[in-house]
Amino acid sequence: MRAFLFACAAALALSACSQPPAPPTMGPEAASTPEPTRVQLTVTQGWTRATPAGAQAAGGYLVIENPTLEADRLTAVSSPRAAALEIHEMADVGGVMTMRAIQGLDIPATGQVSLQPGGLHLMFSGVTEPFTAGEAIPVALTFQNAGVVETVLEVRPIEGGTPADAAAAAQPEGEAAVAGAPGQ
Amino acid sequence: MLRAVQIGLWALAAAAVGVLAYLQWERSPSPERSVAEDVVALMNGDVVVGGAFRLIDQSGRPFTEADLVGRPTALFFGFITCPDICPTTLATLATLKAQLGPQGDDIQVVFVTVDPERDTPEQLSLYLSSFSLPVIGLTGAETDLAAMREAYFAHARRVPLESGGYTMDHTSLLYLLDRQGRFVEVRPYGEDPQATLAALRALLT
Repeated sequence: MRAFLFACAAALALSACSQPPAPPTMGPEAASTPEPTRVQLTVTQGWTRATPAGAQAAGGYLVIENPTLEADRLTAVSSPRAAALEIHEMADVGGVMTMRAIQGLDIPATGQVSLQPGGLHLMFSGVTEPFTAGEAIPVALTFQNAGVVETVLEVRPIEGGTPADAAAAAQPEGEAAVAGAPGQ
Repeated sequence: MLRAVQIGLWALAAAAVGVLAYLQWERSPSPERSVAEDVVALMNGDVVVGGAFRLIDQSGRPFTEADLVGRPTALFFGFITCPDICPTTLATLATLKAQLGPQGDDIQVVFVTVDPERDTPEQLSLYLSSFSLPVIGLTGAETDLAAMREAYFAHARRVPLESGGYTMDHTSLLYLLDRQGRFVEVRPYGEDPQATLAALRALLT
């Protein structure tokens, strides 16, 4: 939480911060200097949540960016940390949460697809070794054109990082000041 | 001869109960009410929500509607093998309760499973211990859970997964009850947390 507040303060110092606070991304590419690179599909900002005790399922979130002029398609996903990994689409349809496995995911040319809470995500099932905050979960994504892209999902704590936390962090005075950060 | 007829009738009755139980499970709470109608009715406060139920908590103790009296309650339906909405709801409630300060501790949080096959009291106890706020986890026989959902106009449906397991579609609303255990309102999942906070604060007054 402290790190998040600091990151937000830093972001505020740098810009007007007109967008809602985005989760801090600490990927190595964030700090890299611009250099001529091949235009290719990338997978970044991968994260998941620490699994509560006894829970054998987890959601995986990431951003797929396809700067090429050709559409691509995510056809398979796998991870050594789950008995099965599937691409799921979740939707809150009028107060009822529904979840469905989907066979593949189209990635438009010069476009991006975000897998995030409450929507498209990777679904880990049969997680026998719990995900603990701070570790990295390896995932392999197979694309029709780009081939296999390997990435890791950073495990965030069970609590924190909800919209309520973001709102509390954005509130400089008053209630937020007395709110203890849960889970610390 | 008479005995054969008797056995036949019993078999028929058993089959009928089985079919009814199946229908109840697939289309709970009741066939003539759609999920959408129930959500609209709940959001508008058009229905009388609540009633008698008998479940057990994560330590195996009975928990009935009488246990909802005395403290305001925030109640929702979920299951352990739920990657997103259930931990998010619990984490959000933890943050909001912390924002309410010591007064917030008065609110009891109740998690009712829609997946009793996997969510035994032991599993619930383990799972809920991972969160920083105290939560009462309820499970029970599927028929008792279905009856409770019916009283709360909630729905649950089992959906098979390709990997061989299953997931559950379920009502994602947060139910707020006053100190007398009476239904006050539902809050939609994913709403502005400040709105939920205001609703929780109103429960405490």
